[in-house]
Amino acid sequence: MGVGGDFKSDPPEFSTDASEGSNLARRSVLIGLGVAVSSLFVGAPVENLIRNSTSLIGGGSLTSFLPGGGFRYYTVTGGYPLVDPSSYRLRITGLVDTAHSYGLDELARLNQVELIDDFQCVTGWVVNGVRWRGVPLADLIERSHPLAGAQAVNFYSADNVYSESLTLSQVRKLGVLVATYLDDKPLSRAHGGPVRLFVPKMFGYKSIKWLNEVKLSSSALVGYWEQNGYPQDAYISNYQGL
Amino acid sequence: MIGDANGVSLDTLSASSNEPRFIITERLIHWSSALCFLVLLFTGSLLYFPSLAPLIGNRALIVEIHIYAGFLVLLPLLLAVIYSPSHSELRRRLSELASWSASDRAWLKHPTKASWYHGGRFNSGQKLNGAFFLSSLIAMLLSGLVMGLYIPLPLSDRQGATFLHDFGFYIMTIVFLGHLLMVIRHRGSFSQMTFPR
Repeated sequence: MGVGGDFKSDPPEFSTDASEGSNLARRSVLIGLGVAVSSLFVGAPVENLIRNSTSLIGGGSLTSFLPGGGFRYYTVTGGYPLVDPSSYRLRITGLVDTAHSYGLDELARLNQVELIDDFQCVTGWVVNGVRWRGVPLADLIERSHPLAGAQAVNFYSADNVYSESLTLSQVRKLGVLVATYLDDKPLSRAHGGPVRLFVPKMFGYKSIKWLNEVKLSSSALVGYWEQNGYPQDAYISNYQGL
Repeated sequence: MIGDANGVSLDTLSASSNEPRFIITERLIHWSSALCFLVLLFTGSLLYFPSLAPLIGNRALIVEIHIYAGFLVLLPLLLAVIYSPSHSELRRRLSELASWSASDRAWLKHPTKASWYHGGRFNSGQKLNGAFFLSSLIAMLLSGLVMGLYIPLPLSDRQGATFLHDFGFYIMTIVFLGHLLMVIRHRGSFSQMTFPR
């Protein structure tokens, strides 16, 4: 007998005493712990390496199958809401002198701003260098002349579930964009099209998709993910230097 | 192929000792964990793949189910280890699965047939399968905690945990498919794990 013949002459007795050999279970637990802890240190560099090398060889469809490839599309309702672009209106309401609403063509005639920024999700994934284009939210708000009591800006999604909020000063300071284009293409439905928010310097959950109402208020609403424990102030930098 | 030399089939190995290959507590541990694993695989796929995400949507609910299943998946085994008396039949059987010796290493170099078992129930590959799932479930649980519970770690740590969780998803899916393939090859094992005669 070729393989394993040596066992024939001296069969190892199965032992219930784990100390005789090594304990596979204990080792497995330690390996699991070790892998998880070391991923905190090496996971991000490895992922960046993979992303950079796949983009060098063309990337594209390949990256979407690899860990760390591109956007992940989230929706909190049963599917993506369908917004008809021809009848779409973005409403500016609440504590303003004049409530306005804008169709897509009216938004397109306003001053367009382009900005390139990373899209960082709170769960850890990131898409570097996303090119956004749209109208600065601050412009739209100024056109409606906010009243003195307006401290917060509340956002509502066409899915009728998701909501978000910022302070008015954050909107002005951060250059929040009412985005209609992503990487030079009109926003797709999965990306929150036709109109979504992009909030620079904050985690992605602030950048509400399928935006259809901007309501100025004296107080900030507690948004969808904030109700689920995420912080109201979603500055990415708060979590970079700990 | 493993387990059918000399007419001795892996599936009927324990017949000689007149005891079931898997006792009821083992089977309960296996199937409760397996159920959680399938829920994790399904909800995880919904959360991960853009093409699947809109099928059911309700991300917050899916996330919640995923997290609960993640907490539950190792619980049966943990409870068994904590609450089974140290000389119980279950403990003896679990430590058999966890035993690893020079002969296991030798088996891996030269995978041989049923004569190896010497009354044991598992070959070294099967032990490694168990060890793999234990290790990777722990790694997935910890990286999932970093992702899902908003633990305020630096962003690069969160990115690393997410990467491990994604990577683990692929590896575990592949090993799980291998596990299914082995079940198909050894139908008897399936009945031993479900309703042995």
